[in-house]
Amino acid sequence: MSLQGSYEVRRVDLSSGFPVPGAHVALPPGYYDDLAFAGPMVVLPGTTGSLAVSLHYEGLSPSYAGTVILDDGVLRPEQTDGHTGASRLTGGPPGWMFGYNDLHTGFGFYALRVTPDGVHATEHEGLISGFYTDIVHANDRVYATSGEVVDVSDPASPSRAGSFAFAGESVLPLDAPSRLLMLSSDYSEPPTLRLLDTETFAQVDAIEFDLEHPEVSRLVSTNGSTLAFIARDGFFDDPSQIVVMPNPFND
Amino acid sequence: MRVLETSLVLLSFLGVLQGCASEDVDPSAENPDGSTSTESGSGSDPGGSDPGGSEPERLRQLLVRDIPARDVIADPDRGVFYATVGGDAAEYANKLVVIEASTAQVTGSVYVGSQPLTMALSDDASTL
Repeated sequence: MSLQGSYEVRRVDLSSGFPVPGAHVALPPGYYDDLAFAGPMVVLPGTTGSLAVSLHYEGLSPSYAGTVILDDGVLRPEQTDGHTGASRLTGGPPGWMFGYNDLHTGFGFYALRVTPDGVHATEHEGLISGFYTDIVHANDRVYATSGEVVDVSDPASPSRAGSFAFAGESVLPLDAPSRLLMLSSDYSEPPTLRLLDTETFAQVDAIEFDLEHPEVSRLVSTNGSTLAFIARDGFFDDPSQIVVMPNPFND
Repeated sequence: MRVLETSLVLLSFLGVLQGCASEDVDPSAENPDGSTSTESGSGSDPGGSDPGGSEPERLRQLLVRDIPARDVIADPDRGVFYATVGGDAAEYANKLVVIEASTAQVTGSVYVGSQPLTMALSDDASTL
């Protein structure tokens, strides 16, 4: 996990059934040789100690400071440049990850090849757009909260697969065939959870929430039957809440 | 389009709270100095001390928990969610909070360090 206050990551052992914090690892400096904290992270497939980290600076815009690979805290030599790059990060097939620049109008999509010496990025334009867009990899695709879908069945040559007519703050591909959840909040409308078809890109169902805190994010699920997300007012320093609910579309 | 009403939420929330007198149990709490302590007896009863001894009500409706989370991640193998809480929070400051998915109860929390933020889970679910 990222420890933003100390510019570290920390391993937490879950094998006993309860989280037991372990070793702290100091993060390498970012692209401009300044202290950086860990933003989005990916544990490399088949490992417990190899971690890809999208580094970010405090108080700098754009905050992106490069992507690095750490093996039990040891930095692989090849890392990506900062400023413009994978400020958002998601996993991929073995040897690959994917990233997106959500911090300025370059809006590049990045195929990130992971090698023993580090990480190498190739930019692809015109696949995803929008500020603060997040991405999630599943089943040879990358789903963006902006609604765009990228085919990464050939990781070196990503291409546009389609687009939903909706955007949201969080997307969650389901194990159920061709289904994805999208959680959206709009100050003019109640927060909405949509069930979407990933083949037709059509909405299957939708449900609105009557929530005290209407700005929602970070939709996750243990197994598709129970969902959780963060809700907040959207005002600076307002405390957030966690909402837990059965998947309403499993009825 | 269907709408989930807050009134139903609160009723269900109260029902669960009746079976959860103590939500912040630290079966393996690490102190800010890095040491780890275990509360005898509490770790085996993560649902809290229910005077009636009954099982907590299972989650049937949307529940809202006042956890000032910065990030949340799911652990499907264990059926729990983990949430990170910042250092300025009145409760759970600088802790990792464990939430049972089936009941939405907090089953434990542990101090992890300064301003915990994002998380990533290994594919064997052994390491966060």
